[in-house]
Amino acid sequence: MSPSDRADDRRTEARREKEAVREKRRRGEGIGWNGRTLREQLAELEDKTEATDHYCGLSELELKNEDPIRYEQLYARLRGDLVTARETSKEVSATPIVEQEGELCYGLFTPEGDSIAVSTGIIVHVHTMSEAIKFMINHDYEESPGIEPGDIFVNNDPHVGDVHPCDLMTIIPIFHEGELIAWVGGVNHVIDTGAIGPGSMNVSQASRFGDGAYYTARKIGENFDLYNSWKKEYPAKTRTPDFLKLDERTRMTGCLMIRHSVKEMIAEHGVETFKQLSREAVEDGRRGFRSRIKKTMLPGTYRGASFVDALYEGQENVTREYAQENHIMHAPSELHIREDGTFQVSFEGANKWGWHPFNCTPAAIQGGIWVMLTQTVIPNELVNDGAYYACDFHLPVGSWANTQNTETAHAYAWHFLVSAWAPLWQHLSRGYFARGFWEEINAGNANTSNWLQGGGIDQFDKLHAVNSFESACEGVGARYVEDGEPHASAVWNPEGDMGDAEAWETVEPLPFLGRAVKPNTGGVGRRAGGAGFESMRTVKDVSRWLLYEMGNGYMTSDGGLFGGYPAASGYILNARNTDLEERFENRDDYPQHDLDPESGDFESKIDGDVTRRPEGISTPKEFDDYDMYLNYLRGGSGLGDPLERDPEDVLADIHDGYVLPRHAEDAYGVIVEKVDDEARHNSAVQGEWELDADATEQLREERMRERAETAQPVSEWYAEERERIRNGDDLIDDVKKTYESSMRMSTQFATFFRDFWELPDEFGFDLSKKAQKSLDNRFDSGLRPMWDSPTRGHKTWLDVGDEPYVPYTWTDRSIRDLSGPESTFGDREQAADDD
Amino acid sequence: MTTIIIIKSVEHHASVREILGSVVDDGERVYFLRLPTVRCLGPLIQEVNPMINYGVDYTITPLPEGYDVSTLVEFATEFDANRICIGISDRTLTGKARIDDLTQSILLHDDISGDFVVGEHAIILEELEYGD
Repeated sequence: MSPSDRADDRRTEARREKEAVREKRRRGEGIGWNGRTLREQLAELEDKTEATDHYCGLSELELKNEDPIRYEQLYARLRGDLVTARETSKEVSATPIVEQEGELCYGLFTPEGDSIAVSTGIIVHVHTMSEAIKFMINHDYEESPGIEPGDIFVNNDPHVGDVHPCDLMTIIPIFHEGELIAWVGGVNHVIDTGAIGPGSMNVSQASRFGDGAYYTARKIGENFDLYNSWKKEYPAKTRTPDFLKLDERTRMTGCLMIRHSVKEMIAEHGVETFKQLSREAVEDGRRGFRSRIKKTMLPGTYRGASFVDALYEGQENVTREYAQENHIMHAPSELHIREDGTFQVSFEGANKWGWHPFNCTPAAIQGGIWVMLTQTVIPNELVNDGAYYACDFHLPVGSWANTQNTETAHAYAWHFLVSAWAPLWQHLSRGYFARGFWEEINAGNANTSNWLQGGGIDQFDKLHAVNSFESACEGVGARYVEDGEPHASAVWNPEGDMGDAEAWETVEPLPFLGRAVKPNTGGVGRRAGGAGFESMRTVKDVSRWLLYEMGNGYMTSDGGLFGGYPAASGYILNARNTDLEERFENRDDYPQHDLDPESGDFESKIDGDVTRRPEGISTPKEFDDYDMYLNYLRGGSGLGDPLERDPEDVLADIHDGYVLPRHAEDAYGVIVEKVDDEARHNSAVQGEWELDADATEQLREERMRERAETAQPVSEWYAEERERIRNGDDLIDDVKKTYESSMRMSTQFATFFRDFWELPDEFGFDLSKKAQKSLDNRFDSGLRPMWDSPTRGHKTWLDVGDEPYVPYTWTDRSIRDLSGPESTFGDREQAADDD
Repeated sequence: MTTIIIIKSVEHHASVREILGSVVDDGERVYFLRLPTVRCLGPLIQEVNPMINYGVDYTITPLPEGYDVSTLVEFATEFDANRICIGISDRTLTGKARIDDLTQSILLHDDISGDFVVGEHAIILEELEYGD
């Protein structure tokens, strides 16, 4: 059958199905199962799930119990078809973001919007598309604009169900004989969203109105054809229309392939089997998650905090003057693990959102955490929204983690989101350690940056934008039993890759001058964090071309674990108005790398205006031909005391380009000697090195003695720190503003903070007028929530009810004070029996 | 025990709460029969949460456009319902419940009989017996 025949068949089938749906509507029936409307079905599902502690009241997995092999075959077939659809359809796309990095994912969802199975790829969207579907259901899309066979919907609104607006999703319903039996959705990261600056995640906007186009769960086609209005509208809203058109065809291709697979399964096994499978898979996923938590963690409360910087003071081109201020994200986090395997995360004490694009919505936080959990908690279980039903989150309303304000910008929510996860890796790892699951321990993956972005008139004299996804390839955190993988993947896409340089050069006027492993970027430790890498790019054949950086700068959000060190923090290196062209013509040496930033090597090989500063974020600035830009991709965190690392491993690190020789001594107490100048093992280090075992042993003993001599009792340290806080004299305004913001956000956190540091009840930080004004400005903005019909699953979004849905323990309130686990699957005995 | 609750309006929260709270016992089976005048019971279910708050298992069933009282009685017969409840949607000037046409038709139907009880917000026909 030719593709056009298949398309004709599909349209014919859609028309027939549509007639069946319309006949049901004429009879007063909905498009859900057994004549119910989708909203009735969702309401009933949530009610029964919470009441029974089982997904949709499903206490028995009949299909699975009756014939486990058949159940696994059916599920594996669905999953396999989703993966096949991704692998096939990504070849349709023209951007290396999709074709090289695989920034694409598909999900199959129940009629109520719960994911049954997902493909590989950016499986953060296991849940974000789910929220978009629930939004459509709860806002009566069945009535208007109508949900019919052959319809096509789009969404990229983070307040509805997305991480940030550059993740465009296509969602289509799958019908069988007049009933909506499933949804299929595909999402990919597009190259430009039409924001105020070029690229998919601009950083210079103060509010959402600079983020680019938001498409809020919109119907954009029917009979499997896009509306002409849509085809004319969205290409005009981006700098890269052709790329977005092909991305859309990618998503449509995958969605239609999956729809076809579901139809085939129904034809072979019957619709009732499919319905049963879809329900049981979610319940099975929930039980798998719960059971895994019970097996690998110890009950209790795990507490931590993380921070990351976003510095805007003095930045150019920021859209509002009041947005030119520095921000530090504060993410106090608590993970409650109960005896029944309940998994609850609280961010009580998170500080206020800001006039920057790093704010998050609950869909972003929840979706983001799934992708992390799939890589650590449930790598071998069913990955679907069962995990959603097994977890609860407390995301304080009005904080950066849950702005509930449609004025806030979200273009690069990942910056705060990934940073806020860092303690969660550690919470889980501590549990794994306690239970002896040492192979599972991970010190924490890299803060995924830098993001090379920009645009202007490109080498083909066309308006263009770029977004290098080399950041899909970062160092992985050290494990307890192994070093972290160097330049491996990104936490949000386990299948990520750096992509071929040649592929990037076809779509970016930014030729590669060099690409290499970057030494000293993985955190040091008994097990080293995986190293990052770098690309040195120049600019060629452009006009009015802008570039900018995005990532962590002074602060590293990936703390080490068990005495290991954090990964290296970020910095910016550019050179403009250079003599690179002359160097090429004269065949002179030129910088290909910046592997040892302290060496002065880069500066010695280029003349021009060199910018080197220890920050991670810059706003769009103009670059011209032969200017240079360093794209530095970060490393993962280290684990364990670096003085316990096998010296032979440190020597291997030098020869592999992960550690500079002089830092072997600084960081690891390992003495090496150069024995040959000629050998060249890697780009960073010239020469062959040998270990001086005796000197190393002596140095390490000396270091241990020094540690003992300089060690300070906690009581002394506490007294000194308390004095610093009380006086506030040597604390910078940005730090004081951060804590003051958290204290204003949360009386519980404020009480905890004052109690812990034995501060007066009325204690507050003395802020500058500018900092005070900034806080007042944001706190006075109030809420502009998008959700006006929260379902039970969204109680955490809006703090519905008197009692927090997820308890917090920053103060005297304790998880133990509650009469019982109110959220999700509460009954301990029941959960224990069934799970 | 099986109860049928006839929903004529999505605004009938109070009558549904009264029925579930005062008439129906925990663990009973409930059928929400949605009349064609109501497009969707979703908001009502989200508001009331019958299983969480009242411990009842339930099913939502739409009655087709052009139904008559026989359709309703056939449904009650098929599921051997013990009672039929319907929200009070109209009252006299003095506040007494007005029996609407549907309720009257059920009461007068030959194949069904039972005890007639008027509550605060709902009319209940209980101890149902069925004819041939």
